[in-house]
Amino acid sequence: MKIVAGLGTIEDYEAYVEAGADELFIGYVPYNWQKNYELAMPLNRREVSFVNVNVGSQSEMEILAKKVDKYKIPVTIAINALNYNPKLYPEIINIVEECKGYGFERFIVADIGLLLALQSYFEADSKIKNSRIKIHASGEIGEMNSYLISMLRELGVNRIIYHRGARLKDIKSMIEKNPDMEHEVFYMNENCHFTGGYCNSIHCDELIPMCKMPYCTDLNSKNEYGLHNSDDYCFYKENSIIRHVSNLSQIGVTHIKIVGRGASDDRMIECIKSARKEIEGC
Amino acid sequence: MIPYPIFMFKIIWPDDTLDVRALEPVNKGFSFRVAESRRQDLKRLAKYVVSFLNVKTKEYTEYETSGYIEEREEDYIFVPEDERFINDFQNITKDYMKIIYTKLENDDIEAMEIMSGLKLSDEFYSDVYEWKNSLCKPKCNVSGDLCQPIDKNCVELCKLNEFEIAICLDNDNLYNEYLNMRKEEFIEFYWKENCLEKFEISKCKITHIYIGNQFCPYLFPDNDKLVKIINKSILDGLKPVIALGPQNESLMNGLHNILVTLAKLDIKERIELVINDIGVAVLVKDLQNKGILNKDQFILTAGILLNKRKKDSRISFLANARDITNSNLDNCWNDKNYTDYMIKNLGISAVSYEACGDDLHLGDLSSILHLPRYQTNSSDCVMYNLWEYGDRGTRGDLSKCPHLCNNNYILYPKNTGLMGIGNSIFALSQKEINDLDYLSKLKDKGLKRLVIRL
Repeated sequence: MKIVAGLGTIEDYEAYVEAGADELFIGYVPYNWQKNYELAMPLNRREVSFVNVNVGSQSEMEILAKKVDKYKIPVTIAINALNYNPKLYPEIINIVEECKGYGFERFIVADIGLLLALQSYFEADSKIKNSRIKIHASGEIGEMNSYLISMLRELGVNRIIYHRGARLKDIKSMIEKNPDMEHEVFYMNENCHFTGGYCNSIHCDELIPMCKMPYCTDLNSKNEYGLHNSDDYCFYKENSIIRHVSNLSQIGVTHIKIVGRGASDDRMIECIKSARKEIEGC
Repeated sequence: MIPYPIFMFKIIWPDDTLDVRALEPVNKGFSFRVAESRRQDLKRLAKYVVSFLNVKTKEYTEYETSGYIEEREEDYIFVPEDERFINDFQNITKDYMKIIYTKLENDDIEAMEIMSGLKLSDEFYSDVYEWKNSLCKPKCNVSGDLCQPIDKNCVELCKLNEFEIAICLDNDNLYNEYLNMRKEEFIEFYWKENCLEKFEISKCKITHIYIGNQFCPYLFPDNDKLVKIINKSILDGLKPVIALGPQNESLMNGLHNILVTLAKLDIKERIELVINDIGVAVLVKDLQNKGILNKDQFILTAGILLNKRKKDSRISFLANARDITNSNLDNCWNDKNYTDYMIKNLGISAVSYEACGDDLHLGDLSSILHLPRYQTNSSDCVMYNLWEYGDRGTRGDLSKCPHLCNNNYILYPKNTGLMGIGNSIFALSQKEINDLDYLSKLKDKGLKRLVIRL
């Protein structure tokens, strides 16, 4: 199993590689997109402006490409917003071509409309076809089942990223039916309570995420509860998937995803090292 | 390090451009770096263009500036010679530091109030009915009766009756109530339950009845109940519409059985399935190809969760709210390539939308509008997890869920307009339910049905 870690700034590339990451993923938001669209229609799922979560300049991408050449740890580009205005699909395809020009050929996609646009574009020109890009189907697409996976495979997807709520037995069944694809699961070092693929609320600097909105409930439950200030955003839960790393290996999971673009690099390095230790212990 | 989105710098040569990221302020300028291959380029004559984000208005200002580049041992410095740039750069770094201190010195909710102006009410909705009743109603007198009785023959109502009008059975309570009441009795109960009995829409003729929950597959009725509800709806003169939540892998076998059950019913017309994951459409196609289902037995409609766009009751507190709204009017369902694929490969022929106060850009497929509530988030399932583990984030075995959401809700501050119903959060749209003229004009744009649920 390989470790895939999120990179908020290119400075952390070497540290994450040394900690044990086998792949990294970034968000790239080029100048024109940032200026014209990003604040209203983010290109990926890190939608804030006042934190370093995305790579945003050509120079950074060129430097990153050199690091990849040197260390041979590949980088995937997240273009995984849940939806885009389809008039912007051509512009996104241009960004994909730009990334290919730097040497990045793996992309995480969540909008099936974009996936179809990419497929049409890359199928149309046989010269490009030979350097086919690799598409990872984001966990943000929505609920995964083997029928959806069969459709994604036909659309050229190479890897399935299962959302955080996917259960082990379901993942096992889907892997068995699609053994020739790559299968990636979240390490659960960060845990949103809601399903990412159905999260239509705004993520921005000014507003707290919906999962952190205070709430109360009239629920009579097994457990004591009361007014919550939503500080139950959990890490390393006892029954999270992290405790099942050996099971993941046995069922055919190929990649573990450690998210944290914009998170503290110390915490990310700690997570990567823990994951590496658990994988080597299997 | 200065976040790229707040300050961007571009170097323009006659034959190339390069945007770079500012690392740190240095004197009046900033440091940056480039790849080794660009070192020679930096010695060439170039123009410099900068772009600053106004953190209050969320707009960019771009202009050409002047200065020069100095090389240091490990990086470069841009040395500005333009007072405008010097002032703007100082201001942006000050603005950025203010934001950092705001976030460090305050908790998240306080920081949100400072940055957006949204101060959360200390009062939470006492129950779901208080939330439902927060929908702006037609004027009533002291006794609670309408000041002006609804004229059933008014032009607007007549136009509304040109639409198909649907109600939703999406939990155990409603399934049971429907089976135990006569049609008229149930419809009256439905409008009261949804606190819509004083709205004109409650005088419309109901044509369709949705059976099932689009957000939670575990709330779907068992086979026996499903068949009873379908049979009763047909006797009641209502067309049944089967609403399916997103189906995980474990549920697909059960869904196969449900589809076979539906196919065997003695119903002359095609059964409409509202699906909320693409895999179900692939399953239906697969069963049709294998001859287990007839080719024309089902009509497939894309449900709410397959029509993704930014929807948030707090959006009006953002400086760029209009930009966000306008950018999200179109999505993949407005793309011909996508809709052609959905029609030809998966047989999807209609799309569900939600009224959220924004203009509706309906795509080419038949459209269905759900109102007056709209979904912002869904989960699997925060309510069950909270009940079982005391923690929304710990995920449990939902097949054991006792359907707490039949009678329990997750309550949010009153001024957010939010309510946690089942595994989802909903907000209310005040606009469409009160603007029948607006609704009636949507018919010409391809809207065929209104689905009313609060």
